[in-house]
Amino acid sequence: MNALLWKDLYSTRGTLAIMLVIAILFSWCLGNGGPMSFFIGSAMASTVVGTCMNLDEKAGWHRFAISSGIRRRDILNSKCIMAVLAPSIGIIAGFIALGLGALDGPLVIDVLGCACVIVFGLCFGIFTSMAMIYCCYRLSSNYAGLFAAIIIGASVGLLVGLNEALGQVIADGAWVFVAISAILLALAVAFYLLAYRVLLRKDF
Amino acid sequence: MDFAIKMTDVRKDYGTFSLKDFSLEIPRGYVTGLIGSNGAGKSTMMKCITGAVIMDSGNVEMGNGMILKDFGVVFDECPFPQYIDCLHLSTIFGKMFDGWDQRRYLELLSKYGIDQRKKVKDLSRGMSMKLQIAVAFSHPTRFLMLDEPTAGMDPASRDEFLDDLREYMQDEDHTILISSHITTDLEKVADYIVFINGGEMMVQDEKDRFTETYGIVRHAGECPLDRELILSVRHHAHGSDYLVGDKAGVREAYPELVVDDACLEDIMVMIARGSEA
Repeated sequence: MNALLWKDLYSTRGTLAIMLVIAILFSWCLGNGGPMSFFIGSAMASTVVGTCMNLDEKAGWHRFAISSGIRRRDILNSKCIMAVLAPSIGIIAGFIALGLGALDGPLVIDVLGCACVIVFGLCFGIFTSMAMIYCCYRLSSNYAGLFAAIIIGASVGLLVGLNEALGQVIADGAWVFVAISAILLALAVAFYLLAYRVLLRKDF
Repeated sequence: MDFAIKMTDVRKDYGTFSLKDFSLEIPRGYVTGLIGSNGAGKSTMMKCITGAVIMDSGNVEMGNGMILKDFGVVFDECPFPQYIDCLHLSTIFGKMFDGWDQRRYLELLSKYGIDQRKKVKDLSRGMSMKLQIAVAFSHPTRFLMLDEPTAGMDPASRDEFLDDLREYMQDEDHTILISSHITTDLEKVADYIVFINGGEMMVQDEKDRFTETYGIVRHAGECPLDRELILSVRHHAHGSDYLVGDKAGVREAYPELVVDDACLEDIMVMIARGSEA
């Protein structure tokens, strides 16, 4: 599995770097240096998983990996690790954006708010990535890219629009974020299981 | 004779094409050449062996305790990550294959004239095939499965590659399954030939028996042969060519006819186009 993960990271390193820069800029501009930076960074970075799947599909990597004795489950698991890693890198982008926000003036950090959005952003990123992985196996990576664009665009738009309201939600109770995060994680697990089912029957 | 791979009643239906109850034994320690026209089922058959394609029914058995990790594979399209350079591929394969031999890999890259710093996407078709071959030869394998490995290669490179295959076969535990449209390559290295057409196995035999037994009767005018002796007919402007499966028998029964030797390509083309005759 090390090899698969290494391969994914190495082949998407360029995209990851570009995405990191874009995520920082978006987070900084849209997140206004607030906790939403983490969400935006994470959501954007999760698209790297789609890029990774697309590259694999075009090259025919799965056929080679399976023919070389790599189990289908291991291939999926390596993608799942990418699905966790990519949003995590997005969170780093969020921290950088937060730091950039501090350049504009004194920054008052709501630790609980940040923690909530970090957890939420991570879970959202994992959910989006797993959904993309499922789409890639079920349909093709082209559809997955479209799916990712729609889901991320809609979510970011919605959350940016509701930025103030969300701030109020955080202030009212962190449990709402925890609950949403738990639902997203459960959905991500469901997508994993669905992807595994599809992968077991898929011809490469 | 031991088998390396045994396929029994393998069936795979794609709707427009199907592999029909395909049974085959690939003998261990020999080179088996796979011939057939485009879409005949060669690649599907190979994918069934490795499990890249899920069979509808049937069974694939590996002999002598072989597992997929013992496979070296070369596909008709390069499956490696396109944005990684050849040198860094070694790092990935070092983690992927037990016993990966980096020194051998770099030697082979140098031998095949592949620039280590070039990304996979920047390699020509011939070069990317050579890269796959270098990878297949750089980790311990017992079974090489090569799907159109010489596609895009120049004649000198092909010859060099065939030499590498001969060297690989020095170990009697090694087996090769190779498909190619360049039948002259197979004539040089294959011990056995399997001919597939329309998802069905037409013939499987020792290569020498193909050339020893098959012949072509070229004749203008009425068919001079007993119909039962004819495997396939090809009509053309100057008459007709009749493929026969018992060259010696025809020569004896019809001494007045000229019976030419048939090469693998003749046999493949005439059997594949037999229905059009």
